[in-house]
Amino acid sequence: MSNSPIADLSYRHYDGPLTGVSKRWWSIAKMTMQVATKRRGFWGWSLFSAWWFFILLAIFWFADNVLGNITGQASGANLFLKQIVWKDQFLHGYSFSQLILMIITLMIGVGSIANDNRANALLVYLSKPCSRFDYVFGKWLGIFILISLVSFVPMMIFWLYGFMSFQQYGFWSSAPWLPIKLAAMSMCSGALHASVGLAISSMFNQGRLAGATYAGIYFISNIFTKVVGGFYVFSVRRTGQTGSVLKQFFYASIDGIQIGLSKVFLGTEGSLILPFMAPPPRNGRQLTTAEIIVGSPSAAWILPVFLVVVVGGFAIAYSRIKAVEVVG
Amino acid sequence: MLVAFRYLLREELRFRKLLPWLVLSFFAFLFALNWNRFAPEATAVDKYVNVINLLIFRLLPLSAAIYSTMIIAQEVEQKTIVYLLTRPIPRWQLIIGRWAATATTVVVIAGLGLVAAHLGSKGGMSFILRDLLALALGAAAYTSLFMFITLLFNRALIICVLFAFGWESSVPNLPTGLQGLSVLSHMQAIAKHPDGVQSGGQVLDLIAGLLGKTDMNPLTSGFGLLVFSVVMVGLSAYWFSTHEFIPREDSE
Amino acid sequence: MIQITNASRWYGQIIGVNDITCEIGPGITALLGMNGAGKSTLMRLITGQMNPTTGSVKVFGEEPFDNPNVFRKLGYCPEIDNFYEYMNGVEFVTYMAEMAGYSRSEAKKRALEKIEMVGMADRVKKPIKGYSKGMRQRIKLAQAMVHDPEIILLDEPLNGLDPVGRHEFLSVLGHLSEMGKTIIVSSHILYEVEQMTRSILLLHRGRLLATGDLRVIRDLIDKYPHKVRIETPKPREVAGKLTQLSGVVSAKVDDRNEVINLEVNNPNEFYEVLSRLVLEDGLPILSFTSPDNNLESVFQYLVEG
Repeated sequence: MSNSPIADLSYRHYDGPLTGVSKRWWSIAKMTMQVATKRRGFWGWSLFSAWWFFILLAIFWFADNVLGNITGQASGANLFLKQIVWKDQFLHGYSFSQLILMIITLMIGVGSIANDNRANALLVYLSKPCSRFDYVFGKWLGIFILISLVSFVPMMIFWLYGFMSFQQYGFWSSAPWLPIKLAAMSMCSGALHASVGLAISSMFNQGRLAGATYAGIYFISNIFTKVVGGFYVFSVRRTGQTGSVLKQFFYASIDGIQIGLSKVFLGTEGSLILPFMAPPPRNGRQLTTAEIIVGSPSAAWILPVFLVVVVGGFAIAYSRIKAVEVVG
Repeated sequence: MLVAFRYLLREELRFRKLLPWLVLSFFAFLFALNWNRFAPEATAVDKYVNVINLLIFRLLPLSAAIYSTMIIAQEVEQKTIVYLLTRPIPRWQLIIGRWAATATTVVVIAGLGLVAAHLGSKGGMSFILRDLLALALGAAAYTSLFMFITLLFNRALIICVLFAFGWESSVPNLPTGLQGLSVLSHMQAIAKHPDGVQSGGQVLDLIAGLLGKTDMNPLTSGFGLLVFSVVMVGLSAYWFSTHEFIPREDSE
Repeated sequence: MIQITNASRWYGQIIGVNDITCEIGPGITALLGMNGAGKSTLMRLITGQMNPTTGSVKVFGEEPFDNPNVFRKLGYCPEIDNFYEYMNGVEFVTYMAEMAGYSRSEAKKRALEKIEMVGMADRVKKPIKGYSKGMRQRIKLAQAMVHDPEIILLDEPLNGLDPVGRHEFLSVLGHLSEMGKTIIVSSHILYEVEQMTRSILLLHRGRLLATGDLRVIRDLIDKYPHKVRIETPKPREVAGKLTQLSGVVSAKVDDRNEVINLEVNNPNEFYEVLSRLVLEDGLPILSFTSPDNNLESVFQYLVEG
């Protein structure tokens, strides 16, 4: 810092001693989380993000207790529960929560830097003993933690229910590492939304514009990749080949990266929502699951894509942060 | 009213704002051009109709949602609303002028997509005018609805986006007669694309919102969208003329 | 021109302005108050951006909310620094003139005139996003004047202006005032206001604390004696004589022995006697001033007293 007797009141970066390394970014992360959790909308959407798990809980409870009692099946003999691939149920619940995770990010994360830009709060942050990295990482961490938890908590509640109720149907034995894999999936969601959200946020000084851009990228990439998915299953039906490059591009959206990674983590190709939903016949022939559902992407493709997006998003946000007063 | 129309149109049609839509139109062009790689039996008409249904019709509500926030919400957020509200122009004229500009912009964007789809497929000649009409009426309906939502709610974009991709993705696919509650279904009825061209099968039909296809009358649908737009614009004008629009943090 | 009758405005459970009644006529009137006093709320009520919760606000006898008749004769220079950043100054002011009903060519002509008037003519072709705060203030003033309104409201107009800019801005306001316009200037910087006018509306916590001429208001504050500072080569002698006068409450000679600080109850009577003493008895006085006859003192007496 300057030793001049005249105080330096300009909004330049603080260049004095930095102490308490961990606390600087943690303060910003805490603040980000506090602001977000004060919003009623955050809690509402978080609850709603678990909607499919609520349905699953109801279905399995019904199948286990009501249906089991009616048909007089002994424990472990329930035909419906016997057909369940447990890890796929987590995949479905996780996939169905994607839209809600995007909305929560829209609410708590996408405006965060843009609004700081607008309010000139960046000047205040960066004139404190706080580096650009502290600021961006703090914001990133705040969003990461919240999104990860919103994704993880419902899955763990469902896992606990399954662990306590369906051991006899292979709940534990079929996937003993499931909690760790679920945590990894949730953290991927948190990291991806935090990085993309912050990168977009840092490019604007209006939260509305940042939000519109994020929603636009989310939905447009979704539509385009869904069309690619349509092409893929169509080509599988025609040629029987499942190794097409189209399969990889199906996962080139914000949703797609997360779902693709979760398939890789869980080691599943995916399945129809519930076992009684058999694939519809087409031209007199029963379609296979691979002719309806786009299978798991290659880990060698989806992991680098994920890393590039997460690191790239963070780098964009970091490079865009400047203590410049926004007059307009 | 014309001044409000002209200035907002000029802002919305700035090259920087149009650029993402030009890029998307280029993607639509590429899709149409390469369609036969994945569906070799598709004719030029199949290609055109599929790209219109899957991309252009589906992107219309997104562009409408984004641009509708520019009518009033953006002015409130960037606080420039004060300049508009202290001019000798009645509020209803102001909002109608600005809505007209936004609807026009959305039609222009959709028109770019139409042209791109036609150029890529060479199959749109006999459909393009009808599609343009469907897109114009759809744009009017979406922008008027979203404008009203932006007047009512602070976080309107989330609601608009949910409508555009939640409601408009699911309701047209329902097997009942509920399609009448979806703007997209009416647009499909007005466009009246030939049956049996959905070479992508059910997955693409699902994206295009064609699974629950019913025989809606194009005339009724067109009239319905028109009436809906007029009602929503009227409601918006009433709401805007009778309520205060002050940037919140400025309130003392 | 502006009549405010028992106007109150609530924001939920917070009150913005509370039961205000006043009339504002031609000339410059300063709207004074601390941050949060209700100045901007009152400005918004007058400019028809919001309605009073109770009471009424009338401009030219009409309610201003969504009233083009009022806005034809009213110009508003808001406190915000926000613009359509992609436009340049001429485009913005022309836009505002067109919104006021002028044809495109007339609007542009007027815009250029007003921009010249606020001293921005040489820099106005650059996009607004590159403007300094001072330039933005000038453009805001230009857009407020572009349709030659009878009433101009300026919300914190001197914010961000450098001393030269302030001087120029004040002369423009003086010029407008001479033209018979009604100008309302809100500010919380008393020094600025003193340079513009002595006619004030003083708000505090949403209430109208005082209205009218600054001197008259000061004279009416009987609770506090007026301070008079007298410079003299013989302070003790002069102080001895002055303390015998009936209205003098106290006298204090400063450490340097050159100045007497008096407190008097009836200043007008005191000044009369003082001038007689100087003329007739040859009281040696070099100068005298009244340090609390300024806005800051009045403000302190009213707000903190």
